[in-house]
Amino acid sequence: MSYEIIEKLKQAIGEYKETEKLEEIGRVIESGDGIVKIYGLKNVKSQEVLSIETAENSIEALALNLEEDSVGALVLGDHISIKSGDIVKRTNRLLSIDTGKSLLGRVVSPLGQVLDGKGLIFGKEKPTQYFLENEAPSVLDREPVDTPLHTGIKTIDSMIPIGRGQRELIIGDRQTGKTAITIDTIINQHLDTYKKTPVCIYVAIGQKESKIAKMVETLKNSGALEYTIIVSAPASSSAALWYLAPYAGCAIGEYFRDRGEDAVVVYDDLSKHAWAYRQISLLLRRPPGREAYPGDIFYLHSRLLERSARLSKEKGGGSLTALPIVETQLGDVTAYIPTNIISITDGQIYLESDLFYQGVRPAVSVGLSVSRVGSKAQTPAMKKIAGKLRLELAQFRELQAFIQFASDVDDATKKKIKRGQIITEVLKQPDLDPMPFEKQLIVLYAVLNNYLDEIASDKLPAMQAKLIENIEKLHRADIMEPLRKTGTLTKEIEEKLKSAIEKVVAK
Amino acid sequence: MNCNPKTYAIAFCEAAMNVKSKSDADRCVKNLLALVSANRDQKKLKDIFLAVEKIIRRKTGHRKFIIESARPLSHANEKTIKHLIKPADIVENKIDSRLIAGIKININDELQFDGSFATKIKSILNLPC
Repeated sequence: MSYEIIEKLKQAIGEYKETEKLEEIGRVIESGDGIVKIYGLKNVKSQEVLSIETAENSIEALALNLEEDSVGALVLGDHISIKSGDIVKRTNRLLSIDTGKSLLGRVVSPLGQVLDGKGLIFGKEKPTQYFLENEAPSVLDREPVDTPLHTGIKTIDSMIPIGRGQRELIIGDRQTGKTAITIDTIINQHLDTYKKTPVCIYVAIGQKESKIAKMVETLKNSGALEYTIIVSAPASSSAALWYLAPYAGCAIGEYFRDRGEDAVVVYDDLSKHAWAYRQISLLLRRPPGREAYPGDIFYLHSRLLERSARLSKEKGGGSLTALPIVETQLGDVTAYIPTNIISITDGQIYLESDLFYQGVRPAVSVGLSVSRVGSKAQTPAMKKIAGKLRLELAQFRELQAFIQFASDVDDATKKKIKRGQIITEVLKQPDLDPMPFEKQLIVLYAVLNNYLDEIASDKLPAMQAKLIENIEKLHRADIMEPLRKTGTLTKEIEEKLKSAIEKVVAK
Repeated sequence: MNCNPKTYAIAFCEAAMNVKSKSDADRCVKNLLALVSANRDQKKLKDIFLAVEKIIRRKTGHRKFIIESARPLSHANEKTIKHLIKPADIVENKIDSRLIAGIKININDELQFDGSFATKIKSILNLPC
């Protein structure tokens, strides 16, 4: 071991190149709470990495505020050892992260440091550096969203479809299952055969480390970790890392997008990201605005989410889908950050606490959720089958509210309510159990064509399982495979499906 | 009155330009300190002095050299460095054993040449091993 160290040191000394040159320097005049004020450095660029030479070591900082005589910088390491008077040097490089395929299955910090204890990330592969702040693709570089990204959640895939390259917000109060939806989506990607499996990037901002560890374990056990990268800025890390984490995740996603691959990036969550940016801005003495957020809080999120796109064929045809999460307080979607992000994204999935506690899980509020571009990307078969689902559910909700006051209800209304209850029951889905889209098609076809009307609510889950199992076993080649492969429900398949469902229900 | 350090420094330099005697100069400094304390800007004093120094250097064109070395410079080294320095420049020599060997030159607190052995070792040890 010591021999190896000596050899490596010898090699490093042998390869050392003298790089002494006249460097531009500044001096720390104020340091506190992870922010330093530096006197000098008049040629420094915004977002440039600076090196603070302390008595013990050198600490990196990020130039944010460029003033006439001073620079306000965000410390990227331990700020305790920084003292007033310490020398600050320019590095002439903008903040960037090492990216590459070796990142798959790893947990990294927003600065690219290893957090999973599995050793070096880039062994043989040479990493590609991507700037954390990058320009969004131009209009000409983009193409309309036309490929579905199946989440494996019946409610979402049938009524609020998401396309590859879309930005779909997941919004709701605490403990309503926001993270669970994104984890299900990640797990479902390898169940979605005949489609390119996208690379998934999960950005954890200000979360408990135990929660992150649990999530890594879940992904590992379900076989999803091999195509997932986790960027972690845990609760114990500084506001600087919380602020940089989404940009790091996006930069990693861009690496795959620019190489013609599909990537999905989950930002969990942007409310905490906004808090971190508010803290940094106030410490940098930028003027506070509404709810003490700085004036550029909208730009903070719009420039991040605009980087998600479906690229044109000339640009490789890759895509970057964004699933930002926002936590609301007492269901208030009209607060500052939620309204900002709702207006930036291409739709939102709204999760309601009331539904969650009634046992409707995922607690998606169909009335308030919308997908502005995803319906164009929905699979033809799903479009055909689930087209009337939203309408039926809306009618049911309306009737449900109405019968609370009515004493006498006619048979037609009773029937409609019964159907609504059946549909709601069928759409319920347990946590970590995403359903491949062809199986969703079978279940939804059965329920929307009145095959499950006579079945008691408590027997519906068992009936669903029986239906899927039967068709998978007996009709794999003539129903399952064609649906999976083509995503179209031809008359021929429909006839076979009808007779198969009839047989199972009759039993 | 809310003033930034640079404003104080410009005002002080302009006032000091018209001074004719040493007592006037002392009075000028006293008045600056009184004004700063009246405005409760004592925290800004360090920045004000830095700004004043910068203005004076810009006006006179003189540079301030701080030459740091681990040991007193040899005659030959001093001769080499003399080529870089103009007669009007201010030169300050410092001995800092933490450099181990080599030299560090700081010009006007804006530019630095770091040829110390300590920095070389640091950069070698920072290389990925």
